[in-house]
Order: sequence, then C-alpha cells, then structure tokens
Amino acid sequence: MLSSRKKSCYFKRNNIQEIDYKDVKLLTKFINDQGKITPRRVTGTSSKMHRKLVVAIKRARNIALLPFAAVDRD
Amino acid sequence: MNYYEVLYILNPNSNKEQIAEVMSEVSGFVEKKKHGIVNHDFWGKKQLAYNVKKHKYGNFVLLNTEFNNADFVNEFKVFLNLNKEVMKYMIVKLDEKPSNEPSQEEGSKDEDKTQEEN
Repeated sequence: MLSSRKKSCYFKRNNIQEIDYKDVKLLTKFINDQGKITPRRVTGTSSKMHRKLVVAIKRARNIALLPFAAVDRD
Repeated sequence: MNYYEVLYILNPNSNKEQIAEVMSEVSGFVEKKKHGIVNHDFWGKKQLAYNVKKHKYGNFVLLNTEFNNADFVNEFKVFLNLNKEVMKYMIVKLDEKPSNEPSQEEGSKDEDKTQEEN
C-alpha cells in the first residue's frame, strides 16, 4: 500500500549526456509556470544531470531564452 | 587555443542588410586578429523571455569561434559593448570543438514565421 513508483531520470532514459542551454524546448520541461527550476525530488533527475541542468537553465536565463520570473505578457 | 560560443541579440528593428552588416563587422573583427570562425549563424527574430532595453523581440545570432589567446575575450567584449546594434550577448567557453552544422532551430523557425505574420 505504501509502495510508490520510483521516478527515473529523464536524461538517463533518453540517453542524454550533455545539456545545451540553447535547447529551450527541453529546458522548459524542468521549470514551472513561475519560471522556477523544478526540484529533483519531483522530477527524479539524477544528481549528476541535475547539476548540468541547473547550469544550462541559468545560462538560458542570462541570454533571455528563459525567464527569471514569469510575468503575464498578454 | 580555446573554443568559444558567443550568442548575441541584435535590435529587433534592424533590417536584413543591417544584420548582415553587423555580422560581417563581427567576423571581420575576429578574423583581423587571426582568430578562427567555425560557425556564424543567424537564428532569426525571436521573442525574448524578458524585456531587453525595452524590446520584446530580438534578432539572435550564434557565433562559434576559436581564440588563440584568452585575452582576446576581453577585447571582444569591449567591441560588442561599443556596437550599438548589439543589445545583449553571452560568451561561453566550450570543452570541445563545435560541430559545423547549425545545431538547432528546427522547431523555432515556425514560431518566427508566425511572429512575422503578426
């Protein structure tokens, strides 16, 4: 009854070794609607790949590919 | 000898000739100092995640280079700061030689078209 499905690392499943900060489509999977980085306990990303992911997201934010904080732009 | 990736954003109001002019200025500056250019691609006009110099859109250009000495990075930054068309840039050092093929921009091309129509 207490059994919970173990989450697996997205990057391990898809055999991705390096994360490019220009790959916005991939990176948006790991940020929430506020633009915050989703924690590892939610996504199940391995710690090695999460460190790379964080660097990539922060680089993308720096060059305006991703938001620092999401705002309504209607 | 190091490889660097420079992604810079140009003013969204500049036309194609102005963009080509800036791109040739940039590659001219790099080649004048005997540094190599691997790749120099125009991505197209994209929406920015936040406003940059009060602009909502920007023309993205990706440049992959090979600098012979690291001091050139600072020179290059000064050059980009002085260029009025360049709104923002980022220089990233690469571990390996970048591939010659344009790396991405398959999905985003559709977005660009819709933006132009609007």
